[in-house]
Amino acid sequence: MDSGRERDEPVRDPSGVGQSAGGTAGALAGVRVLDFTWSVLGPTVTRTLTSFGAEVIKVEWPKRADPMRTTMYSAGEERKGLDNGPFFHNLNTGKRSLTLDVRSPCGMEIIRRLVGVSDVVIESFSSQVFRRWGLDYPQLREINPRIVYVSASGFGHSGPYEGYDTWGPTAQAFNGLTSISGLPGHAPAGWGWSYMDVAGGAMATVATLAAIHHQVATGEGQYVDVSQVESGLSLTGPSVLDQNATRERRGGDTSPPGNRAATGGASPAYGYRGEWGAPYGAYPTRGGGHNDYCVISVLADEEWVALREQMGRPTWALDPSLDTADGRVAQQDGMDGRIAAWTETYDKQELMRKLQAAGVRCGAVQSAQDRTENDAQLVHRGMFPTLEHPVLGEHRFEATPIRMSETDRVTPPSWPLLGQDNQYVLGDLLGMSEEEIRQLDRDGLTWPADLPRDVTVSRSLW
Amino acid sequence: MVTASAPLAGVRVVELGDDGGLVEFGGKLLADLGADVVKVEPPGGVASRRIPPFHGGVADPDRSLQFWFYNGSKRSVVLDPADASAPGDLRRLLHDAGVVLDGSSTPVLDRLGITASSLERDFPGLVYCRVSPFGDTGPLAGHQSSDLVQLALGGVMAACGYDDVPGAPPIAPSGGQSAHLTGMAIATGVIAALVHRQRTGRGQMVDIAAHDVVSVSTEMSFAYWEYQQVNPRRQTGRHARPYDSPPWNHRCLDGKYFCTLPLYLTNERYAAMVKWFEDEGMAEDLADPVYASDEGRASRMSHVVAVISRFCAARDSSYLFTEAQKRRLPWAPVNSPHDLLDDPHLRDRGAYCVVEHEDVGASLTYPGAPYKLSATPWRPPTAAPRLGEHTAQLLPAPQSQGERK
Repeated sequence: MDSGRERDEPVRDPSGVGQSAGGTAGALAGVRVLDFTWSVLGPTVTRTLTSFGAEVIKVEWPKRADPMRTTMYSAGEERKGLDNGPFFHNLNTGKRSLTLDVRSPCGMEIIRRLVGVSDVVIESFSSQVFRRWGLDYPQLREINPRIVYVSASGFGHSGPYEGYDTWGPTAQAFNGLTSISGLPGHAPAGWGWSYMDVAGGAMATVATLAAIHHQVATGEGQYVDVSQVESGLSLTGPSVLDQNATRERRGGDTSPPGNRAATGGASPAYGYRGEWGAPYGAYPTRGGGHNDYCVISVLADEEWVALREQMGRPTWALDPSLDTADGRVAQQDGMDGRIAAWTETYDKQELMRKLQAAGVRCGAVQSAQDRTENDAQLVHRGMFPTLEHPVLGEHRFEATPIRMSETDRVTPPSWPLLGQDNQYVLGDLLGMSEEEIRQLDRDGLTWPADLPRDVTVSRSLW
Repeated sequence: MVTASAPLAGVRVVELGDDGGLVEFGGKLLADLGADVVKVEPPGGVASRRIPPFHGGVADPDRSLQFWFYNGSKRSVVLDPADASAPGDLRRLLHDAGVVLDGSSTPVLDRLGITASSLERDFPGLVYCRVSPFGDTGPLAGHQSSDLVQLALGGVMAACGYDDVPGAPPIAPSGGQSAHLTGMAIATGVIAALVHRQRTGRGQMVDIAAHDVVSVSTEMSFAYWEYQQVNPRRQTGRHARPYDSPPWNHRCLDGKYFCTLPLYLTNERYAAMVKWFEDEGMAEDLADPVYASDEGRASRMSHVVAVISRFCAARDSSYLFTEAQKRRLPWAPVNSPHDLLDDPHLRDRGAYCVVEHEDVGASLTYPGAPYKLSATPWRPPTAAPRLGEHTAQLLPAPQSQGERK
């Protein structure tokens, strides 16, 4: 292991990565990504890649367009189209759009030419699709030996469940993530969204970057098979180890642990939060609204003393048996009600300021509104930049949560309006003439002949 | 080597501080990809060594399962910040590193008097990744944090919980997910910076705040507010939305819950489901043509779901899984993490690996990495280091003050 040599003798693009695509900003400037992903998992990967300056070309056929295009509309939206879905555009900032009938021989020939001038191909179909298209890894490698091929699928591209269908909620049900969220003795609360699309996408991004790293170093491509289901397995690691270390299933009906980090008793159950202590929970605050809660986490004895002082040293809290973490863990039930009676008299932001000033780990339960409108830290960090979208207008968008001093995140000024970049992709990248491109369109290969350009969809999926 | 090496083989990573447990998972992801990760610990070890449960029930810094899981393949160096030699030792460790992950409460650069402008001169090419709960500047800088605080402020709890349990608070899913999300961002930012360094020879600073990461992890919540000025409401076991929706998870005959995602019931899938239910005599009225279209079902989904629920209640979850998937219904049992160790698919995929803990005579099954890279496969972990196990190796005497066990 000689990291010094690695530093002193940087490998300068033997692969040719970055010498074909446009753009100069970002760690992945010049990296071209041919993007067949849809829904949330895959587009999460490619959104991050755009923020590093990669050029992402999203390939769709309008009749089978990404379902997120019709998921959620702006309030009062009269015309529900394929280019004005706000959730879709928040998830696909900075990408380009190519519309192409890849099921036609001519369309597939164009895809094969695009593979030849791309660095990464990524898809999130079920496992048979690319094979059926003649685009599995051996065939992709024949076209372009340095291509990185990423498949991001539910169960992965091998094994008995390879053909099974999953969406984010299915994956998190199967892999245990749904079960670890909830109150003891109740059905799982699970996640209020597809966590496995977000976390699975983040894991797939790591794998994709690792492959690009190898590609830049050696010029060699490879096949990256990411399983959304497996992405959740390491997110419950310590509880899995506990199970096979102790040969017993801790907790029983006290698992999941609610909001706690630990539950006491003769057979302690652990919250597996990487923390240990009490009180540890969500407490109601003034207003009584849906999100009028604060969380408090006491992880050390001195933090308990600080909390006790802030509560005004009530008699119950002076009980010496509460001076140790074990004592507090054992008496959480009794403590929580008393703490709640106190927190109810405060506004959640006011309570957070008060307790944080005293060194107590406290946070307001923030709604989407709270985070977007009232969180000065997120504003300071630039997490919701305002961008001008050609159809939606001026709006805030979510940023990639990574700042870098040399190659900071960027948002390329492009949006994947359907077919927006056909001219660029077919003309500039593949050298097709204006007439050839017009002919493709007349042949119904870049837009379905029987579908209006400004198609209106009948309903939003969600 | 003839065999393929891991993608980050040859990259030395120094992992520091870790007061809030935010860097360990990022370091693990890099170690799984082949990086040589050196963990710098204070005397007594990092906080995660003291987190229960412990192997054999013995509270020992070398037996925490929490520590084991997040620190496989790493090396441990103990450095006492109170020692006069500490700054020099730290500089030596940093000098040999390609990457630094700094989750200390006081950034290591401040401790060593290194400014952003002198970083490149003193440590050319270094990728310095600063990891903090909220960022080092701004109104929340320096605020106290925890997994629960992050999940509250970041919007996770506003979306997770119950609509059928009176008085239920917002729920923070367990597992330490704020650190997981942060760790994935760490690995992402660091590898992107390594790619930039490969191409230009230049290192840089990467700045990751857990609050940023968690706040953009909740999928639709932000867009609901930005475009509809509504906050989605918690609904048991399914997506939070601004309107009510029927349940997804139904209890089966074997006591397990079963997720019957109704979101993608296309006409074809619906027909296959009804045929299945009819074959088993429990379709009730679902074959009625009013349910045949998206629109027809959308307005009657509560009833459709009630029939699904009755169907599930009379069957075991494993049967439902196999039969549903035969019909392309994207349904699955709500498993506990413990249910999966013997799953035939995951075994076939090699989704788990066995780690030998020779010190305590244990052989434990760990979840592996979720990706298969054909040319540069990930590297299964070796057992996490004992406290200070590699101090002498990495900081040879006389500078070393590390513990030896």
